[in-house]
Amino acid sequence: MALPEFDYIAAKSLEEASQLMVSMGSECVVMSGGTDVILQIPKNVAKGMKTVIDLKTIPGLTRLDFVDGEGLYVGANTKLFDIQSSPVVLDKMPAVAQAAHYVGSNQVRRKGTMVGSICNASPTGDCGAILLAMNAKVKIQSSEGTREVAMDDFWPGFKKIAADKKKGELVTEIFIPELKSGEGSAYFKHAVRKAMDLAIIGVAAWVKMDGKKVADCRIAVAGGDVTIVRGKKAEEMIIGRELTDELIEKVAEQASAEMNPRSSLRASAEYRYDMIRVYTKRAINKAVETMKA
Amino acid sequence: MAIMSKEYYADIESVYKKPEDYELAGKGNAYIRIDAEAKVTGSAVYTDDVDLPGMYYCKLVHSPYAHALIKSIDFSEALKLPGVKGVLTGADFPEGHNLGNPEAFKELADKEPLCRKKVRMVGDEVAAVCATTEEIATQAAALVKVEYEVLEPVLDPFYSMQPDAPAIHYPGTSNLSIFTTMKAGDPDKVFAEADYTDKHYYRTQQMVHAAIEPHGAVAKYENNEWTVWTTTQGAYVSRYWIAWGLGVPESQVRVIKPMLGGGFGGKLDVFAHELCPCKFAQMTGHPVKCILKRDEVFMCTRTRHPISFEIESAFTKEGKLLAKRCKHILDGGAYGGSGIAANTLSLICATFPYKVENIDMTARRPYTNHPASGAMRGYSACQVHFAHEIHMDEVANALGIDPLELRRMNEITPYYTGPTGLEFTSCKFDECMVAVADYIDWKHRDRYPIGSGQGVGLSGSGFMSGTGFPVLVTPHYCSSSTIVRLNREGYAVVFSGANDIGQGCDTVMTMIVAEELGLRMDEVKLVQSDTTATPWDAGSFGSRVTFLGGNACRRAVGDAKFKLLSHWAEEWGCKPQDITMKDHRVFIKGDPEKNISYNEACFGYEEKNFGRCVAGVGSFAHEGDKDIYVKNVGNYATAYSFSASAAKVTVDMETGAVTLDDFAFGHDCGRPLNIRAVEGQIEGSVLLGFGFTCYEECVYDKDGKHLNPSFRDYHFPTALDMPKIKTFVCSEYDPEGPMGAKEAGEGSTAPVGSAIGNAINYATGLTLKELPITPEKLWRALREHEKTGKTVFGAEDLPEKFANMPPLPARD
Amino acid sequence: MKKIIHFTLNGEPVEALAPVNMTMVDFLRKEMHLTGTKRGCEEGECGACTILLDGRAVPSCIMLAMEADGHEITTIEGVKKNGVLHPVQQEFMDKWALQCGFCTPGMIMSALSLLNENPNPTEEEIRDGIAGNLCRCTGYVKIVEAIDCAAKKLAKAKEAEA
Repeated sequence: MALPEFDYIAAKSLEEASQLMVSMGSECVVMSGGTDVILQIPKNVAKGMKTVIDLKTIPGLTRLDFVDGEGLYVGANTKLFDIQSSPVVLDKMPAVAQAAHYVGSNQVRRKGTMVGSICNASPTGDCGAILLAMNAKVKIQSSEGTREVAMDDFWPGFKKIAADKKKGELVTEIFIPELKSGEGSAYFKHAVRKAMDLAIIGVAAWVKMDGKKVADCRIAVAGGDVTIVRGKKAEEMIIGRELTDELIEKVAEQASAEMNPRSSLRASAEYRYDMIRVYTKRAINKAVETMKA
Repeated sequence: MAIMSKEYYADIESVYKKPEDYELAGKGNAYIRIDAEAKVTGSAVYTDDVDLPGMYYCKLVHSPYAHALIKSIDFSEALKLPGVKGVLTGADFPEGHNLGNPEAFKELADKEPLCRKKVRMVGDEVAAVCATTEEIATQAAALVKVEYEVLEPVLDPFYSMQPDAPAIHYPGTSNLSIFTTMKAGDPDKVFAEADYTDKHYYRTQQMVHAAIEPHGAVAKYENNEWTVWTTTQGAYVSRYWIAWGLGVPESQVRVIKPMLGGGFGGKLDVFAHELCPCKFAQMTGHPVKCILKRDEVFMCTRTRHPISFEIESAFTKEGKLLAKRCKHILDGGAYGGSGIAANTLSLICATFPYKVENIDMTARRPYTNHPASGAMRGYSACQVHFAHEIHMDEVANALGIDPLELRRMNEITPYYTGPTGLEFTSCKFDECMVAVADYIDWKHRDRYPIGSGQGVGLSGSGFMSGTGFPVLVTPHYCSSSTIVRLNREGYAVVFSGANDIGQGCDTVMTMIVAEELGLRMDEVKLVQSDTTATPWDAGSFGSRVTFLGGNACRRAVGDAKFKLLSHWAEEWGCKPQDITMKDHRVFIKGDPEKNISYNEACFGYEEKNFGRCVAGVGSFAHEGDKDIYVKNVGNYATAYSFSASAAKVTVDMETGAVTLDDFAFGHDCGRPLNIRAVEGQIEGSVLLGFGFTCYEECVYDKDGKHLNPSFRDYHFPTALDMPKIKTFVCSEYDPEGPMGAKEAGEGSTAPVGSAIGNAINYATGLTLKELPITPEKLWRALREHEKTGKTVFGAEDLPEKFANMPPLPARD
Repeated sequence: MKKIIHFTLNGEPVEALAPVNMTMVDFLRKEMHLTGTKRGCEEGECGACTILLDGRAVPSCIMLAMEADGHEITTIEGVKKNGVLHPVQQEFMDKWALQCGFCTPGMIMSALSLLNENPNPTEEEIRDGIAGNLCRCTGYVKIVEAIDCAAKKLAKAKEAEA
């Protein structure tokens, strides 16, 4: 691919990257794995981008730690491949490992990161739904300090994220709370191919059971709107109720009804609506089946 | 049809090794591909790897409109860019020298090297730029300003034929690129009297070859001669059209085919990306490279013809096929090229693999403003066998006959002659069919109730083993020639024009020579696909290389062998046929005195012949009626291959997703020359057929713009999507094939789609008549079936479209 | 704009002046003259350009040459060592696991990475390991077989060593 002219800076520290971003504003883009960003370079240069700031040269951002009683910490430079193949992630939160594994191909996942995936803010991104369903939090850092943003507030709009580039804000870490006893989660992606494909839709569910009753539930849908969103009415419908196939069917219909998918080359809105219904059902069932004892 | 040259080559054939003595042919693990080491170490040189000092880069400027007139081209901004070395428009090429494919149909050549006045598809090439780097050339191409007057795009092939449709090429021709008819017997009478008649409609989509190597070329101009390294499936045919397009004699163009990263029919025609570097090389004095980007490959090369079918059949109530009437409408896209053969192939394939004595078939190929359709692996056969084999199950179910038995009842048998003169030789279709049916446990198919989400399906097909048509005008319709030289230092050199496009024909030719001479594979050196160094070959298409090229190669080595053995027969007082060549030795069996090394044998021959070396020449032609390709009466190929498929699928009845659980393939390829190579061809065919059935489709908007010209949006199966594949090679020595072989590369793609399609139909209880069967399409059908009970889906608009077609023009 | 990068290429240290706007695959092919790494789609979708970055298979078409700075790069040209083919290469040859060969270098790099990470892969894991490498010729059957055989050979050799 013949790329237009631009500059490249390998940042050595968060401070350096942050300052560069403040001074360059919209004339720079940041990348870690670069698997999305490099493809967008021609378009971004045409819009005035002059510099690519590489973050993967910043030390200390490759954390992949599971802390008992807390959850999983994923650094900004932690590769998707390491998440999908981590024994502890596979053991403690398999749905997260699976979501990571759904992205592109192994080659792409050895280069790409989970933080990059959510910062790309694709409405059909493979990692966002499970993070949203599991109530993950994102750490955002700049020279002004560190703040934590819930996944619920991470995508303010289409292709937008809560970190402000002009202020030098960078996403440095994702935190996913651990699954406690009675809690389970699952993620399904629906695509035409079994690998190397973008999602038509994806549905994640997190369920907390209290005996036969659903104590709490979060349903997140990719491909249902301009960002990855929750099916809040569907969640309300299931919380506090005894779980039956009939209820799950109704909840799935509700989750579908409250979405607003669009038609594209990949699928019609009509098909997406119904697939959201089908996979909401499957995701809830699997979350319950794989619930932690 | 007797092979006329049999007598001429009788002496040569008399010294051929007997099958019982073969040490390499047919032995799967006796040898490996001659290009394997170069390919696993990265040293194999493909066109994009040709790197010459001082090389410049060429980039093409494409039309964004499907149908438009070119008003002006402005290079001023592009020329300001430092590093730009030249620009080209259509006016830089001789007018009237349009590009096509068969020399005999030169009047159908319709593609200007660069468009002069009119563009006919999105991606049509209107200009070219040359610069010192690929990056600068890319920037410069983007700066070329072309002003167009946009015309109405014609995207529906049925509309294209209507009198009020705008003319794409020639006014007053109904936009017909070519039409073809094939008739035999008295179909009208049979239809009027038959127990069972029907009429069905089907449609297949546009797909692309998707070879992983993009098209490209490197040209240099030196000593008044062009040398062109290019991604071609036929160096000689490319040479002919490059010379014609440049307006220079063929003697001044040398075409070399480096390693080719897959062809599948997409690299047969000649393109702007080959001619423009030639012109720039002459203008600048530098070598020039032009490699297409993936989106250019999608939009500007070739595609598989989408076909709309109307099929009528007449059967007895017991299931005997009496007659077929069919109409095939092929969307030709913007240009002809290799695409003009599609009609004939679609009609011939419609008579395979069953005996049908009464036929009335027509095929029309209207131009549209889609990208040009052309040859593609399983040329026309994939589409035709999809429609006709889904149809076969519909007939079986209507008659209450087991679909397997209906097929076996009507199948072609060995040495059958079809009603239009197709002369079959060996035929193991029945064995293929039975093998795959047994494997998939067809007998117990009831264990998957109809509509249960699981199902099995069968399908059968046939294909021509070696299209005899030589593309260019050649003496005696010669299709392929080979030269073999025996060297007294202990090796042989084979000069083969056959074009290895990845299928492995280089290895086949080497093996044939090694086998006949009793040499090791590495003692046979191959010189290949270079119009200066190797003799004539028509190219890799029509499943012809092993059959025609292999026969030519065997005659060449036979010629050399006969000369050598005749000399030693005289010395030893025996007949040449008494002498054996094996393990690097030349000897009479059981006679220790008459046993010398290969080197001594060659040396002795040269000693006697004043130093003249041993060399052999061989050619092969399909010696049918030369008018077959115009009249469609007579024998099309020297032999025919047969195939059968069985598929087991699981359909997710909620989402429409199809999983191909298991697949069996039976292929009658004569005696396989290498079992692993044959399996490889079949396994690749299954991938192509599965993609065709469930994944692949070029999608266009209402203006004719290609919406998915990338591997991101155009999908074919990954390793995770492919099933295990069980291969049955149902072999029988074919008397005309080289060492008994028939084709294995193209016919094997033909029955894949319909086996999967039939399996999906049983799994869902629906009948799907249109490809591809994507999850969404299947989901839509399943939901509608739930609501309305409708069971037949796809091609709903075709009855009306076929009914409203204008009459065929009169044949001049 | 060009910048100096330092990296290890097939075991040898390299100092190179690399154009900033050049992808790794173009840099390897045009500047390092290593043409074994192929350009198939140039958008990370086909796997023909797969190389090893610190021993792990990555697409080199969605990688900048700049990103190689300070890392170890292995291309297909670096797999055969001291004149001896790697067992994966040998098995690809012996099993006829290639046809046109254009996907082969990338396919082999993915296989090497897979076997580093998972020396005893199941068939499904092999298929997953090469799912990012498109092959239009083979239907993947013989490729899967070759990788499986190579894995077993390597395991045996390791056993013998131990």
